[in-house]
Amino acid sequence: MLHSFSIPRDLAAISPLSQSVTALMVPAFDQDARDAVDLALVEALSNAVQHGTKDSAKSIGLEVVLTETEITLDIIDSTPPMPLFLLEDLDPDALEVDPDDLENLPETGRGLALIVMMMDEVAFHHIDDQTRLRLTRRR
Amino acid sequence: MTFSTRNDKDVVIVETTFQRLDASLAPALRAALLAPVDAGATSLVLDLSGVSFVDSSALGALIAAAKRLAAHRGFAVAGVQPAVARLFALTHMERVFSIHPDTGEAIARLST
Repeated sequence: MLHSFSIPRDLAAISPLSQSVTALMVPAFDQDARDAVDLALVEALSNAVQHGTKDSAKSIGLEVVLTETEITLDIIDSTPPMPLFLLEDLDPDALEVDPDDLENLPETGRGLALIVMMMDEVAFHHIDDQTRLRLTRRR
Repeated sequence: MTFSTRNDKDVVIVETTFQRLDASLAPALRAALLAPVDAGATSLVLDLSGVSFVDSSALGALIAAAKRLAAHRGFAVAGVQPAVARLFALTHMERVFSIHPDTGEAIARLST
């Protein structure tokens, strides 16, 4: 079943939307899967708001296709939520920590790595003038 | 919905009524954590017992506090719920700050 949403470019609008989406996943998906989608979706939408177009009139679309076995989330924006090269060149050590060098531990930059870890598939799709970040999570 | 602080011995405990700490709240969380440090606190506990969700932006605020208190090993979190515990595990936060089941244990750890 297809569910379509739209939110303004406002960080405060993200969590309520994500909670609406994860509510749709009950009861087919367990709590771990719902938590994973919650985190990945919040990270992806936050990226879109923070790094996408600054034109506040352009909302962000979300299409959710839910089956008994998987959920697919298309985040639809006029600009990529994140540069494509970031996905292709994702550092496998992006989440590593050196406890002896906390001074240089980054405070940001973990969002994309978390999205990839939470999802079974992450891909970009370009359709007309839209960019879609497609996140897929299977049960 | 707010952040607040209380003291127990020499430890400052930061509490919140927010159930989800995301990018929209990360600046306020960061300010709530760093204000006691700026005022001289060397031991700080963030009580997450009522928090069911933390994203990477809010996590950055916790890292900022841990870095500021690194010399004292003075930052701890308490009352971590399952989804937040999973985020901390994936991002290896147990190497950055101490994680306790409740504030009492965290305070005892920082007071020793």
